[in-house]
Amino acid sequence: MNPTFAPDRADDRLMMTTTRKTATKKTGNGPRGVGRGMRSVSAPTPTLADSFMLALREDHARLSRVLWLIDELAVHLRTDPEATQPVLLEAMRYLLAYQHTWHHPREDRLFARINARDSRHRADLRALMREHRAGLRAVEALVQGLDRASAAKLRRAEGTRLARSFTKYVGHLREHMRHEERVFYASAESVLNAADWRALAADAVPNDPLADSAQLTREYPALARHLALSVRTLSSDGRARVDLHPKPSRDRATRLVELYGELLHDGFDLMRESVHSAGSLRNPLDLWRVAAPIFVRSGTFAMRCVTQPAHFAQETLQEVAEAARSAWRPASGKR
Amino acid sequence: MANWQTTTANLFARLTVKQLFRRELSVENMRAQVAAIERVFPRHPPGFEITHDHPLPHCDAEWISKKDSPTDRVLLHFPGGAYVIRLPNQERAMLARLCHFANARGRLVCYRLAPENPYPAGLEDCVGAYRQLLDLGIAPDRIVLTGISAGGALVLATLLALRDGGVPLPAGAIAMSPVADLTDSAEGSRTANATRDSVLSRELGESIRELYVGGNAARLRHPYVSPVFGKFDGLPPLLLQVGSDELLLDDSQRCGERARAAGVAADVEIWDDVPHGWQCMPFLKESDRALEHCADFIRVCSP
Repeated sequence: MNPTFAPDRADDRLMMTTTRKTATKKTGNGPRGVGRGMRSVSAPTPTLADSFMLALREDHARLSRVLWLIDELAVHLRTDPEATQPVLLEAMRYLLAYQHTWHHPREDRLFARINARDSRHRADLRALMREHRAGLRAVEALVQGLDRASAAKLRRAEGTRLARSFTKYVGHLREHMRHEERVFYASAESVLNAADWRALAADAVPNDPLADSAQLTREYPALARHLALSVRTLSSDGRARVDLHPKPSRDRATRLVELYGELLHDGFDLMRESVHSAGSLRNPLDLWRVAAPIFVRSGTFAMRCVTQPAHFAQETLQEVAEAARSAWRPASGKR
Repeated sequence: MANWQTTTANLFARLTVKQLFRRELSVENMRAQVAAIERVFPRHPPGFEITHDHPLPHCDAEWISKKDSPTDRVLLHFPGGAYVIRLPNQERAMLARLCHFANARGRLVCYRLAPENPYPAGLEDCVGAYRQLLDLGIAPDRIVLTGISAGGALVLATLLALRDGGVPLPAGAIAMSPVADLTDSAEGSRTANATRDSVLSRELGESIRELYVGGNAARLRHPYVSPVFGKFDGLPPLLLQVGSDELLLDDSQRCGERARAAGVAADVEIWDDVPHGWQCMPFLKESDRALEHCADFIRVCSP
């Protein structure tokens, strides 16, 4: 088991990416310095590269957690703007304050060094750095748009437009992150030398607020509260409700579909069996032996096709009548 | 309210798969029918390499990796299929998409099926597959277990068995609509969603549970068979995904509650109106979204 991971609190969930890395095969270099204040790797050791890359990967882990939440919330923007807007705003402000201000510039410095040592990926590296700048502009525009929009506006087309923009941004950032991990993280460790890693590690980076539960609660209270939720309901239109209460009309429609589905399958089975039986006919004298069971089964099936829907209709009418009677009874009681 | 693709998928599933599972079919017939459905899915996901290195002693297993994409994350995947059938093409395609989203390699374990090999054969294969990864030198915190339906239950059972055996646990686990309670209690979502579930039926549940435990009903409450009765202490972070209309909704919710009560970080995602196994249906918008969420979870567990 993982001895450093504890529990049922968002704080701990958020902390896990920084506390549980002690014995990875790839990064078996002890825990990263994640104390309060500024963070930097002090001494050039053989594992400096691992520490630096682990720090970037952990940034990605926390970024993933926030993207997960933004993707979930964006669909609720139009249906429940009062609850969604503040959390989304805090999530985006976090991205601006940490990921775009510290994480991306750090990656840019890494990419510049890879570029200097190995020019094979020049075009891709430039594209990634361009995406960092474009991402920053996109977040700023989203924060501005969301901040200005009233709840009433968000319930209309503005909410739909912003929700789409959020989803698009999340999609871009995920793809960007995958691209970085797939290609450049893998090549960085083989291309750069100790001097490069020393220079990269010397740059101080502040703590990620998501790695410090107290700081997160202080600076982003709505985000912290939402990250602490353990059960989430998701839908394509933001109207999801888990409701196990009977829904008579919907359940009736479903039963009708299944009734016809069953008849359809029985019809296919009957047809298949009949064709099979007819195929076994070798002698005209056998005709009656083969045809009789087909006639009987077909007749029974035809009867079912008539009686079962009729029975269903009768049941439905009874249910509707019963519902109408029980709706009428309290009203007549009042009189 | 679901979108039109999901509504169509539900209708199609209700008219085909649910009807199929409800009929009195032998396991052989069911496997033959499922094999016909399998032809819809490509055998080889484009852009991925499939290799059969490191065979397991009792069952097939394969590696699925994206070409030119080095990574040290491994997703150990247990497919679904009610313990008696298997849709390898569909599962392979889903695992390939998840590997792409999470930037990981996949290990698909085709554990032994009932009724030929009842419990505990399948579970032993899953535990063995995980131990093999450790023997190959893969660090536990680079491994995430994933599974769907019966495979989801095996994910939870494997975690319980590994913890009980003192084996280092993986970084996290994802159970998609796990069949976590084979006692099939007649309450909650098992009855309320009996009509609404477009894929599973209670009739199917009754027949498979007998087959899985080899007729030994006393085993149904064992935590390795019905993980919802297990103690979740010390397990790694869990993500449970389930549809709001599924018969199995309560299984995920109860596992989530038990895990959180035991101090485990467990997220439960309830997706509105989706059919059972929607993660395997790439034509649904919710499928990619759900897998992206899984990928986010994987990155959080195993940075």
